[in-house]
Amino acid sequence: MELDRRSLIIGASGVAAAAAGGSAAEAAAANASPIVTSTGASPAMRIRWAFSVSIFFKERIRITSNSRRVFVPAMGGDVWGPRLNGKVVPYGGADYAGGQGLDAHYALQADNGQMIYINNRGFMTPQRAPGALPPPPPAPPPPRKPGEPINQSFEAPADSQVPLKMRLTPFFDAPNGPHAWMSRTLFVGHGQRFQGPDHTIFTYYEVL
Amino acid sequence: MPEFTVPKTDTKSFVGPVTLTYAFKLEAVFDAMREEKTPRGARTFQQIASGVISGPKLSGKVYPYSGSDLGFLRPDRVEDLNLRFMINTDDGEWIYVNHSGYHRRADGYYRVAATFDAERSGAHFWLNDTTVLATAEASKDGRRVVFTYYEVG
Repeated sequence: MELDRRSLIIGASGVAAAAAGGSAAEAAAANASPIVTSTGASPAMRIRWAFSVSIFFKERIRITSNSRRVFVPAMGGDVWGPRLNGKVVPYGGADYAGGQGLDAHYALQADNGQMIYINNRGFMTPQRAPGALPPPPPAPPPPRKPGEPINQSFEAPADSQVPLKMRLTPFFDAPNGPHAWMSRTLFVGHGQRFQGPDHTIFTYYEVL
Repeated sequence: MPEFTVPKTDTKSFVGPVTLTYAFKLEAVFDAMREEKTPRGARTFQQIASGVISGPKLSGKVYPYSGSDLGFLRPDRVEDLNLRFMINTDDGEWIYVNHSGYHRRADGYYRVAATFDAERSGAHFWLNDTTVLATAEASKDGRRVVFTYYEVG
């Protein structure tokens, strides 16, 4: 865990350098964000922080379908880090989470104006102790009377209320040019919920 | 385009930590790959003949010919993987596996994200909502592939 804490701190200073508006030299320095290496086996897998994305939310619409689909549109957000800077296109996509976990589709716009598609797949589960059993599946919703409204707006809990573990394997479609590498690189992400205002910070690592 | 002003927050310096822990490996044997040109590129067809899974978190066998890599070889010679098969574990359970990821022909970069469907009440329930990545090494002829899987923490 020491390594993680170290990478967290160094990574944060990298964020500051990138946010400061950086020259190419600064970008290159930030690009040397620390490599996180797997434990337990050879060959090891190595990952490196590439960029972060903030996404702000306002509304949530839940459909009591078989997969308990939830629609959560992205109001907008920022993209920053050593390998990509830009913004989240306001209302350019949404999370359509269902029984299989998170399945968000967002449009990003890089600082050079190019559009990048992200399919943010993954799991958001309550934190549980190693070996602990998963929570039982949610009870089926009560039957709905014909004509009864199906839209239920509700607040997603902040992490301080319910400890959540959110991990992602995003897939990108980036146009030819400086961002094309994103279309041929595997990523892994960390998601953290915040409130006031309601948003999530995604920390994306490229798998080397 | 709707306007949105990103609020000032103190969370931009937050960097979420991710850990990787070795979970198990799979030594897989595939049949020869076929490629068929389609209007969108080349669809790949490669059946999984057999495989052995071993490691601290899972032991078992690939159910022979329980699936294929029905991927997509792009014009830039990167394959978008689409590999699915069934595992029969040594303790008698069945697990469905799906792999998405990239196999770059140019430099051999072969990394995948795996998702699993396992019995909720069984010993491998944790696979259902755990993010798992793998690094893969393919033999020259592409018939033998060793996948090393890591649990994302």
